[in-house]
Amino acid sequence: MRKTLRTVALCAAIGLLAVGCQKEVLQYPVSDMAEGQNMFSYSINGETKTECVTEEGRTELINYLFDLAEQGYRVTFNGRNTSVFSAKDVVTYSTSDRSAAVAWCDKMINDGYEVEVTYDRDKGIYTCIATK
Amino acid sequence: MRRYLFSLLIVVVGVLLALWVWQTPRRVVRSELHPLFLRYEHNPDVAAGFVKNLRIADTVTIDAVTLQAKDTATWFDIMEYIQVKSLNSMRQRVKDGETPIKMFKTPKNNIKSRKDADTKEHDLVICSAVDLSVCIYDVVNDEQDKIIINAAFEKLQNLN
Repeated sequence: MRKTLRTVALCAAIGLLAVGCQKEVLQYPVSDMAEGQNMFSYSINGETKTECVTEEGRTELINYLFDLAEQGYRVTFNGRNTSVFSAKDVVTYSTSDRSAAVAWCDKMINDGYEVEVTYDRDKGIYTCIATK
Repeated sequence: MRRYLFSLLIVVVGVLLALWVWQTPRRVVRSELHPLFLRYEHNPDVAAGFVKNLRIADTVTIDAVTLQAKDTATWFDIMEYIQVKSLNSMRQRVKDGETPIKMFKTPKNNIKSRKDADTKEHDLVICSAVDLSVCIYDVVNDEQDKIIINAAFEKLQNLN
C-alpha cells in the first residue's frame, strides 16, 4: 500500500513538473522575436532586408552599415527616422535623434571628414553631409 | 609678541599674493595666438576674438578663437581662405535660407591642413551660418569634441 502511494506521489510530482514546464514554455509569445528584440529594416544597394535584433545588435549593424556607406555602398536604414546615403567620398545621414547625429558627426570628423549639418525645424530632422 | 605678529603678517601677505596669482588670468603671448586670429584681428569686416578658458555646457573649459563676419560674403571669404570643401553647395543652401554649420578638425595652428589631425590634441573648427562665425577650439582630448559638437547642434536647433 505504501509502495503504491509512493509511486502515485512520484507520478503526480513528475506530472506537475511536466505541466509546469509546459506552462513556462507557453508563456513565451508565439513569435520568432525574443524579449528585447526589434525588427530592423535596411537596404544595401537597393536590396532591402529585415532582421530581428537586440539594441546591441542594432548598434553593431548600424556601424557595419556606416562602414559600407564609407566604402561607397548605397545604404539606407530606418529606425528613429534615420537614413544614410553614400557616394564615394560623400556620406549623408539624416535623423531626428540628436544624440545619434552628434555621435555620427563626432565619428566622421575623427575619420577626417568635413561635416555639414542643417536642421529642418518643421520635420525635426538633422541632415548631416560628410565630405572627404 | 612682535615676532608673532610679524610672522602672521608674512603669512597673510603670502596668502593674498597666492590668491592674486591664482585669480589673475595668465597673459597670453602673441606667438600663442592662432594664425587665423592674427590674420583677421585688424579686418574691419570681421570681429576677431580670443577667449581663454571658454566654458562650454558647464563641463568643458577650452581656449577658443572666434571670428564673426559682418556679412555672408565675408563669412564665405574666410571659409574659402581656410579651404573648406563643398563651398558651392553650402552657398546654395544659405541662399535657400538654410543655416548650415560646418565642422572639421585640423592639426594645431594649421587650419588649411586636414592631415595628421588624428591626435588627441587638435583644433576643432566650427563654421556656423547661424551667426556667421568661425570658431576654432583648442581641443586637448576626444571627449571635448563631442561636447562642443553637441553645443553647436543645440545652438542650431534653438536659433532655427
